[in-house]
Amino acid sequence: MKKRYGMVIDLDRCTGCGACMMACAAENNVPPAETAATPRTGITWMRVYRVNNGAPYPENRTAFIPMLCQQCDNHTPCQTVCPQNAVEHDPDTGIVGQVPQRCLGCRYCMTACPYHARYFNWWDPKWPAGMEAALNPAVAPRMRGVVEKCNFCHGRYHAAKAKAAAAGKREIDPTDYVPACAAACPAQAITFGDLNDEASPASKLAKSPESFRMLEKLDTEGKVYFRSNRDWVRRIAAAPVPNKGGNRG
Amino acid sequence: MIERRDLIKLGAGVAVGTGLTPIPWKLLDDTAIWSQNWSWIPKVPRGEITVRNSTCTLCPAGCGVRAQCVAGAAVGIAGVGEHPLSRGTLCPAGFGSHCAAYHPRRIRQPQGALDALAGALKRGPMAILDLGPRRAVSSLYADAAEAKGGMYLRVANRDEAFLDVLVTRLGREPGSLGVDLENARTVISFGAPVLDGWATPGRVMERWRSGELQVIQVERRQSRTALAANRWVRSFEEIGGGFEKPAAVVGAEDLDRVADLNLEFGSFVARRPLPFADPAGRMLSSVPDGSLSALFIDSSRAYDVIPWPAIQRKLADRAVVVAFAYKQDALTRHADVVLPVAAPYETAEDLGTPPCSAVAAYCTSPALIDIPGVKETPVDHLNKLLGLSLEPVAEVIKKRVAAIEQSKRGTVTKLGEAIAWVDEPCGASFRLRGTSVPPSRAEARSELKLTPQQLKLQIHSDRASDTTPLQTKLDQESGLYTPPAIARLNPETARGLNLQNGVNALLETKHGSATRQVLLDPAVAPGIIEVAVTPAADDVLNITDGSLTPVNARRA
Repeated sequence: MKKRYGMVIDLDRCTGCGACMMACAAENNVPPAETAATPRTGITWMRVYRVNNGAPYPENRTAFIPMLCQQCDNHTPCQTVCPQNAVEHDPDTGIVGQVPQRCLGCRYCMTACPYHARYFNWWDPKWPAGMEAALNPAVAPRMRGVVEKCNFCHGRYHAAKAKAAAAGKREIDPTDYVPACAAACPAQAITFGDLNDEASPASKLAKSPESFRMLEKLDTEGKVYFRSNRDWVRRIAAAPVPNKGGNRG
Repeated sequence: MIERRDLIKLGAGVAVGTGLTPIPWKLLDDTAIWSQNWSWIPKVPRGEITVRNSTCTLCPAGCGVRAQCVAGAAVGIAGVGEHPLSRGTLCPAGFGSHCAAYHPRRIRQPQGALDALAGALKRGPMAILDLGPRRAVSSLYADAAEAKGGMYLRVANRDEAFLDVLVTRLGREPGSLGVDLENARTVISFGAPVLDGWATPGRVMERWRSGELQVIQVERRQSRTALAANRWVRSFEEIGGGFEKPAAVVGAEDLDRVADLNLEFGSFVARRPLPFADPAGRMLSSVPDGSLSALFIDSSRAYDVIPWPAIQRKLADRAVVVAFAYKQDALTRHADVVLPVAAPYETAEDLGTPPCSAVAAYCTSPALIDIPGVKETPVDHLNKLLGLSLEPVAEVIKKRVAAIEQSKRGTVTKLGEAIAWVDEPCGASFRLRGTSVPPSRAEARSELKLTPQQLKLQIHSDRASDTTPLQTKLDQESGLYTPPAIARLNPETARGLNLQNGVNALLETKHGSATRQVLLDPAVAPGIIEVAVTPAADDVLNITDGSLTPVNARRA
């Protein structure tokens, strides 16, 4: 049976610590920030946004929204516009992958992505002296001039597949494939799994009425769901750019 | 006869026709691939992949880590679910801890001249200031200080500051009390970041996320813990009696109040001393001002943050300060001599009882980085500088492990080469000891106050924002943490001060002044200025006592 990997993020549990961002950067060989890098030009496949209900003190409240590639199933916006076929939607897993060797750096995909979840390499990737020894051997570093984004830790997926194959199994054990952000979350706010598997916790959570997707009205059929009991958080989560666009959902 | 017009037609035809063939696209593709394989693009390490266990030594929490290692270096870090202290949880810094050794500001060569040290040692008393106590190297510091007639010094740990107040009130030994979080149903926290890396994060997070532990945060500031807590109140009186007991009362502010409530109903317990020598040391604050002629500071594991002025006060004229550090930090820039030492995971280390632990505990931290680098420990330097023959840290760790096994106390969990030991509870609880609760103090709202934002990050700040290169993902490339250059103000406060969003403001405290960029934030209480403080800013913004310091602000 084909997989449809997805994620459910409980926004009411997220403490905004950033452990997911750190684990993601370490896992996927995303280099430390260039001296001149800013939040606009930096690379964070997983980025936790700070959003605010806009109310005056003391009713003012902040929430944290972890944003990553939403792994769109329907007319994947970045894939549709890529002139280089550098974006691939894997029919076996539903994961939207990026092939940096094909990327020309035109950044149409970044413009097309409604979730601002794609990042451009403005600089050559650079690690402090000696830190190459600490790179994850399962993930190739990218280079200046190409776009990159979350791929649900493809290195971990391949490792799980190799492990299953070595054991003579066709299916991977769900516990063997958990993206770095989900494994790192101290609050266990991120649940990952096969949305096609009705028994998986992620599938059950995704179907619950509290779960929603970013910009549902665009009908991109993303596979990253969010949960929150706070109305204002749900409203803001529907906005294109958290913390920038207000309640536009 | 070929005319000029024919040539133009041919050229145009070729140009248009080529565009319809795969040639240009192939060229573009090849160019892309060629341009993406420059020789300076780093290559990932190759070699046998092994999995090894250790303990994170960036802070005293004692969190177990499992590292994937390739070619003698750790390439990835994960939590260890079966670890008795951390239970699989790591803080953000922990996930980048294997990169600390490659810090851009790494010190690999001695800095400064040692000529004046011999004279300074003759002139007056020496001391060794240990900012990461309860380690094997700490006992060697105490031995070195004793051998040279000097002092082994420590500073207060912020997470345990409220327990220090209790210790004083009850007349007990320092470090003899802990918090029984494991049996509590509620944590009442006065400003302590209990859901944001406080003490050993796994102790709280595991029970909180399963719903076994409710967190009530008493804090004026909209901290991460306040936002995530089951209940957030701005004063204790708002809670009423509506919480389940047993309740643990912890705090980073209003420490007397925290002590009072603990004596009334708090879940604090006695913990036994470690089964080996664990020198208590003398507090730096108790040393007479201007008395030290030579001071050695171990800032390589700065678990307890101390601003330079507090150290400087204790120095005599012409005093010599020697710092042991693996990277440049807030204290090394004041030291006369800086000697390089091993970074986390480069040599074998250990950690004694973590702050606020209910029982005594001990973890070893075997090395995870075997590639060549700086492997000296501070003890190696002390042996050379003071003519001592202190034994290697690894030997002390072996003796400590042997002492634990001989004591037959508690449970030892073996995790690969690492061990994690937790003592059994000693049974002495102070829960029933009661005193009256004094009325809460009125809060002064009229003056501007400096709130140490991300208090825990601060203690971690040397660890979180500086310790690992990957921390720049949080500090620089996202708006998740406020950079040190920012001061957050409520728009109403800013209007009163005639400050607009984005302008630079001069903050003046009793210690000096600092320029910060104003960021208007309705989440900040009126009358409060929130700044993220790093040790580098401690010279002028003294935040280590955890109190709110009056501050003036005006346009720079």
